[in-house]
Amino acid sequence: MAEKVSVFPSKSFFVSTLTRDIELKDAILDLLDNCVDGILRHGQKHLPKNAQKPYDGYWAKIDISPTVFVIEDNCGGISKNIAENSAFRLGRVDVERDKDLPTVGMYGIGMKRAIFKMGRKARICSRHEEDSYCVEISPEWLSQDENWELPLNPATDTLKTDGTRIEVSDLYENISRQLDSKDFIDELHRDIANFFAIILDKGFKVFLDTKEIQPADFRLLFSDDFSSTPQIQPYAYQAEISGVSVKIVVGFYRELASVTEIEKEVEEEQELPTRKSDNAGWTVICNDRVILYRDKSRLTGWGVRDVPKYHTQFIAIAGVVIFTSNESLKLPLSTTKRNLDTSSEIYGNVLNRMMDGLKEFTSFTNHWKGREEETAESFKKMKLAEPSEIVKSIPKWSSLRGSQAKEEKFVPLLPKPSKEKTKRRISFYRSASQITKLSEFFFDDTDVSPSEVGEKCFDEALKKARGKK
Amino acid sequence: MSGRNVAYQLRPNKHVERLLFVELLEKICQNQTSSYAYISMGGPQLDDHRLFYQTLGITKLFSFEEDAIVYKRQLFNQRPSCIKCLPIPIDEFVSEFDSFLENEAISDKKLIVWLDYASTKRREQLIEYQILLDKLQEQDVVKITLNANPKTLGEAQSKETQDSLFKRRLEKIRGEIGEYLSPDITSDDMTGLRLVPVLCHAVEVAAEKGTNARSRLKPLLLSLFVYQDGEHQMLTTTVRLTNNSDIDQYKANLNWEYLPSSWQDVTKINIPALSAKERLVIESQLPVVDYSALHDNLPFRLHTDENISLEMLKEYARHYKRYPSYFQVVL
Repeated sequence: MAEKVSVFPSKSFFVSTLTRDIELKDAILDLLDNCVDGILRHGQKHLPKNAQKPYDGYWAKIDISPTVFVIEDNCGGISKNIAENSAFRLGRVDVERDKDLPTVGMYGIGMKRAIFKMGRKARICSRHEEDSYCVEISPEWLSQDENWELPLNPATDTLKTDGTRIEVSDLYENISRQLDSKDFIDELHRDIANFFAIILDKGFKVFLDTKEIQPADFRLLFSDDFSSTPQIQPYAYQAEISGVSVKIVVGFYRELASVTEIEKEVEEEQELPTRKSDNAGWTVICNDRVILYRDKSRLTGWGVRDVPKYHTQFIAIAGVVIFTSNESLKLPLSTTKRNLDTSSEIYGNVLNRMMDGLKEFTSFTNHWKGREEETAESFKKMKLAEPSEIVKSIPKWSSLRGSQAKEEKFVPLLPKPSKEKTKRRISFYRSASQITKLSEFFFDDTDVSPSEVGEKCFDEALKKARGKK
Repeated sequence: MSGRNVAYQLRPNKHVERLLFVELLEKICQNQTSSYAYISMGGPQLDDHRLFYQTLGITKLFSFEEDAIVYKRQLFNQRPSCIKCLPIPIDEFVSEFDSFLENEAISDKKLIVWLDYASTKRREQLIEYQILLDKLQEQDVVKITLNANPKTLGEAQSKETQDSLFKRRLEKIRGEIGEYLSPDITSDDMTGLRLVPVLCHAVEVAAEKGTNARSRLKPLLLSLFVYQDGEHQMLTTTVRLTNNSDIDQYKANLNWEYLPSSWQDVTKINIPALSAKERLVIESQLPVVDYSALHDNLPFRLHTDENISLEMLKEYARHYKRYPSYFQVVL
């Protein structure tokens, strides 16, 4: 009989490779993803009372300290059977699980990766219907390569509702330092508000150190009266592509920035990064999870094809892309679930439509450059609405020629300024001290912006010229 | 600098290229011309539209034109009546593609689109071509003409060395269409001859970018010509969106003599200028197998170099049926 060689994996290999490529923040967000997938499974048996707020009544509480990390939820818990056979396996064994649910769990690695990223010791307790148990990971177990089983014991302190509580301690030094940092906690707070915005908006509550997190706002301006054209309205697209539902809405979330505002912003940006552009850009959502937040890069079409690169003048443009599928592997998600898989064919197709829409609004912005105030009235007639509400309000969609994928779009006929330019832009440089002198002379204030000083000089000179006539 | 306003009668090589396009379209359409619509920029005289109506029988013909003067001349010259002239730039056709087809009730037609550019705005042109390809469907055909005159990238200034001029041209083309260029091009590629493969590569990249969202469809290359009338060296290429699995069969069935083997397989059209008497002498002996014998027996030479003269004769023989004849007419 042939002799055998051992190919058993070492735990330290798993721990170091699994955790190397993920940031602590993303590892924590993975744990929240698991909560949401839990809600969806629980929702199969306990149908939500309000279809618009399917996550209503569910919560997750995260408590952070330099010595221990705890996340507890009431999202249905893990059955003992799943715990014994798959939940703690490194990698998903049951690919059929969740096949009819729009979850984002793909590889069955999130919880383990998060725990291994943070510390050497963990206690995972869960209550699911009749089951109530705890699984413990110890530093000793982590160092034993031959032992690949974990003890599952009946819970001593049963959770009050069906749910899961994960406690990680014996934290690594770098993790402990991050969990002690106000800056890290603020960033985590913002990321949860941004990346879980849709889920929070649909009723899920997340508490970070007892503070409830409010969702980010992705509303866009639109008018429910579509009868007059041309008018400012968002561009919209919807399709069913190979089992994935896609919706795109892009438009303005605020009025156009004036030349003065742009100049000020660009000037300030050169000194210190500002946050005014934070709300511009594309947000990509997969199965209710935001995976790309307010992106302004080539990834979402900025600076690609005929679309200009992002610039402060486009500060008013924002868009949302919503992918939904019961087959999470078909979604354009990277393995970290917080980024796009740009090689996905479905995203390539959708990106072209995103650029078509984006181009409408960059062109509009460019057409009205220097005449922004003429568009103000149109903006006043509009109101902010959720992208899904805008999609529902569109009265007439156009189909795409020859498309196999039930593709439809709404392309707004945006107002164009008359070709005859009645206004010209004047721009010039003068020394700062001269501008300050004029600022004081005209406004009794040395801090008025250079463009306002320039405008005043022009107006005064014009008055004088007219007076001479 | 462009060849936009030079009439066909002054551009014999363009004339031959255009007839080659008609021959290709005859093979593509295969007597089903009623299922096709033709969209292009017709110029003041709408020559192409008229030709495609007369030879192919296409009746859904559209011309886009942004120049108000040219548009008014189109309306004056419009013949046949089925040509629809639109005072709209071609980029608006590309951006409003679906609504245009819907409004004109041609969404069910196969499209033949000719982006007949002559200006040197190559970046905008390649982007339009790319966006158009993204919107086209299987069996649609798109042809693009690009200005391939290296002088449009820079002309020699007084006392400027060739090396400096070519570097300047390289910098300019990289600034213009860098994302479509091969990273290994050098200033040596900035000659008339070597700029052609550089631009072929750029069009290939644009075609790929325009179709890569749809793995099932491929831009099947059907023609790749370069010609020059006077200063105006132009590159033209035609692709048909074809299902991956049908490509080999389609190529075999097409039986098209000028089918390129790759994006670098360019056919140059360079017909010699011959007198009527010279043409008649040559044509009276065509077709032949042995061009050397024909050449030896001719009482004249087309070039001082014997080999070049023989090549010019072959080029004439290749295209003599498409050779334009010009006559002076007193009106």
